[in-house]
Order: sequence, then structure tokens, then C-alpha cells
Amino acid sequence: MLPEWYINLSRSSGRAFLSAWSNSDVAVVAFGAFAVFIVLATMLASDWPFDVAFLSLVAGGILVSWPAMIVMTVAAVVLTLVVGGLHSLLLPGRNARISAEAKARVTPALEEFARDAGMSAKGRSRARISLGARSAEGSPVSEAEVKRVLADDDSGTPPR
Amino acid sequence: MMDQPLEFLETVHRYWNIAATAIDNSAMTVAIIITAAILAAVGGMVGMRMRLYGAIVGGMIMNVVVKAMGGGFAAALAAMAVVTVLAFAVGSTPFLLQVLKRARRPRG
Repeated sequence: MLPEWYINLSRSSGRAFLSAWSNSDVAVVAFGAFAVFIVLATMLASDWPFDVAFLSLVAGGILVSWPAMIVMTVAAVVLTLVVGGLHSLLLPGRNARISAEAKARVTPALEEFARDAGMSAKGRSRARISLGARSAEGSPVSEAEVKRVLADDDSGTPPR
Repeated sequence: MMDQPLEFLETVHRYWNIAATAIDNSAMTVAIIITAAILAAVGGMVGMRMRLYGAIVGGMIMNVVVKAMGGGFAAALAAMAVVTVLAFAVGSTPFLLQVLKRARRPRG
């Protein structure tokens, strides 16, 4: 049932952690599951298929030898890039919305980290820019937020 | 009943020793743990789930290194588990901030 070349490949790839399976068997099953669930995650824009895809790649990686792990990782990165590229080509609006949501989730944490780490000049200017952009867009900017950014500005000014 | 967790820990310790012997370079082990902690901290900026994923990716780096050095599957799995747990615990943002502040403090 399986093609001859695959049987040869399976035989030459060595035993996996599961002794009944070869490295290529485990890699094909794990990568197949990853491919299915990463496409599902992109189509449904939900978290659980991404979790299953990631965990199947991890489980496959644990069970195979190190060259197979590297091949699987490179193939997974390439597949993710292809799926992401296709998604942005076919559904640009949805892709832009998801990117904006992700950016909105990460930017405050990064700004806070930069501020706390003492990378003040950069952090403050970023905070000011984002505050200015939001007020220019007409988004509500709270008084507390303005006070916080201005207070950071004052505290960062070197004493004369 | 109480023997089982202890036996489990003993097994993990034994396999960790095999992994450490296979790597045979404590600097590399520490470097991998620090890398895993940084990945966990970066993931932790997004959320707890991503912190766990960052720690797992760091653990997988340990896994591939142990396998490449001839440590075997079980040793690689034990090393991965240890590095993942360590990275998840250490790789919190406040800890990273402390390190950054200490590094930026002027010496002398």
C-alpha cells in the first residue's frame, strides 16, 4: 500500500522513541497533524487548533532523532510562512484585523517592560507617540494615562 | 505510595545526569537554560500560556542538543522537562527586569 521509496526511507531512518515506529513514521504523522491544525487555526482564527498543532510538533520532536527534529522544525516554519502568506493574500482584511489585535495585545506589555527596564527615552517617546496617535484618531485617552506618560517624562529628565 | 514520586524524581535525576554527561560542558547547559528563560519571559509578556510555550521551545532546544551529543531519548526527555520547568519558573518578567537593571547599574 505504501510506496517503495517511503518503505526504504522508513527502514533507513532508524527506530524512534516508540520502538515499533521508525523516525520517518513519527515525523510524517506529527507533521501531518501539525499541518492540518495550523491550517484550521488560520481558518478559524481560534486558539485551540494552534495549541494542538504546537503540541503535536513537540510530541513528534520528543519521539524522533535530532536530524528528524531539525527537518520537522524547518518544514513547520516554512509551512507556517506559506499558510500565513496565503492567508494575507486571500483575506487581507481579516489578516490586518488579526495583526492589529495581536499588536494591541503586545504593545502595552512591551512599553511597560521598556519603561520598567529603564530604557526610558525610547519607552517614553513610544508611549507619547502612541498616545498622540490615539488622540489624533479620536480614540478616548484617559486623563490618568496622560498623567502617567507625563510623569514618566518628568522622572526621566536628568537633574541640572 | 510515597515511594513512587521519589522514585520518579530519582529517575529524572539519573537521566539528567546522563544528559549532562553527554553535553559535557556546563557553560553550554547554563546557556541553554538562560535562552529558555528568555524565551519564556518574552512569551510571558503576551500571557501565561505563551510563557509556557516559550519555556517548552527552550526545553526542545535542550532536547535536540542532548540527542545530538548522543544522550539518548530518555535523557533528552528528562533534560527537556527540567529545562522547561526551570525556564517557566525563572523566566518571569520581574526577574528579567532585575537582571537588566543590575547590568545597567554603573560599576565602581
